[in-house]
Amino acid sequence: MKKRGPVYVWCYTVGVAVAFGLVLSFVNQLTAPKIKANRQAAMCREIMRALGYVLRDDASSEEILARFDAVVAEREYAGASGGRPLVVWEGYEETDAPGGGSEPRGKVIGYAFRVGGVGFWGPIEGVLALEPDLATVRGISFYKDEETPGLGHEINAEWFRNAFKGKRVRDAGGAVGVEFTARGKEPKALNEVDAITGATETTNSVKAFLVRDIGAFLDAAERRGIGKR
Amino acid sequence: MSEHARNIAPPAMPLGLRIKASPEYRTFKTQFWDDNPLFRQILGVCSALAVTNLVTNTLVMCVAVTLVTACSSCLYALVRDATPPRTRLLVQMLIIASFVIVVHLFLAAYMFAVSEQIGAYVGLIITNCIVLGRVEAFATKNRPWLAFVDGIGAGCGYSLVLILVSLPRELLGFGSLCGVAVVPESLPRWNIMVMAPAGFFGLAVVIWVCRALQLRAQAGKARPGGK
Repeated sequence: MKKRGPVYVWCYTVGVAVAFGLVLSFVNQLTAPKIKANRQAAMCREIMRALGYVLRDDASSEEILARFDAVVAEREYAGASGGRPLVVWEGYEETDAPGGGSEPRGKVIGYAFRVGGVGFWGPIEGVLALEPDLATVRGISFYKDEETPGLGHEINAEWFRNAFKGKRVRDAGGAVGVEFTARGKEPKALNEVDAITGATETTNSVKAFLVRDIGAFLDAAERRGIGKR
Repeated sequence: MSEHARNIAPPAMPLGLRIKASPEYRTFKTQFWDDNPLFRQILGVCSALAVTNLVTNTLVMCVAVTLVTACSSCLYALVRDATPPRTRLLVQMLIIASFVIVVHLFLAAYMFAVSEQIGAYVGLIITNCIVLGRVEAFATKNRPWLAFVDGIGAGCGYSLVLILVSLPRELLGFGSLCGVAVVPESLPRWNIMVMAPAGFFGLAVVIWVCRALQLRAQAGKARPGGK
């Protein structure tokens, strides 16, 4: 077969494409379960972090998923927020007693739900957890952001996440709202949190979507009886 | 020539000189230093700016680029005689893209945290001029082994510059090296060092220093008595 002939060119090109396609399919099949577990574990880690569970930094995906299944139950409430189902993760007290089923049992320690909106550079997504009284923040965690490293990206810093713990989600007048004030300014109101210096846009964005998403969750909780079990 | 003279074996060349005279050494050194892809050819700048604010991310990117360049060059050199000239670029891109996807999948499976941070840039290795440049310029005319060494040299040359840029950026910007805190918390962090402008400044300084060193070495060789 002539190397420059059209038949050879066609056969060679198709052969090479098929060969590489097969190799890539094989590698994809090989790594797909691990990648899927990693993605699930990354999300579960953030939910558990918001709910206040302590996880080792080097915990494997399998360990995280097993522990998540043991202490967190996922509930879906249809048509709760803008027609989309509201997903709530109930965190349970860790206990050595056998659960006796696939669901975790015991005392509920918090309720977590998704929060997110548009940041300065791109979308911000995270999880906020409330105490069983649905009035106090238990924790917050962000699993996706494109904010400026050292500035807006500080929303992932421990000090910023810790600043939310124990804060009320309503102001003195009873309106849903989280306020950001200068870092270090004391005393703070029950719903006031340290802002990030130099990241005003990110802070404003976080404030806006927290007010919106906490409000939506509390409305749904009222209608669906979440937290009254 | 007398019988005696023929029986005397030529003096063995020292190992160092033998290595320096080998085509592998010359090929590697050309890409690593003399014609470094970043500070001589100004290729692959995009990823050099994007991933250099953390040393760990930089190292992963360096290994990825080096592996993709070396393996793509080697594989193309193996199939080049069978490849019709008119499908040359198509096959080169197919090979490069396949290696990049394999690296991308392995990172997502076994180094998920790093993959989440630099995954987008790993995907962009496909468009990195260094990789296609070495395949087209070198692998199309040389043996697979030498093409592999050329790819390793180009990857190491790229890595040299990236690591030099990333060290001060992470140290001053985050106060750490490879994620380990080395600067006391009390010292202020230079936020500009983790942002894109510091990548530009850092790369410019490294190019300046490396080219000045090259010029000095060339001037030394040109001087009478210079080696």
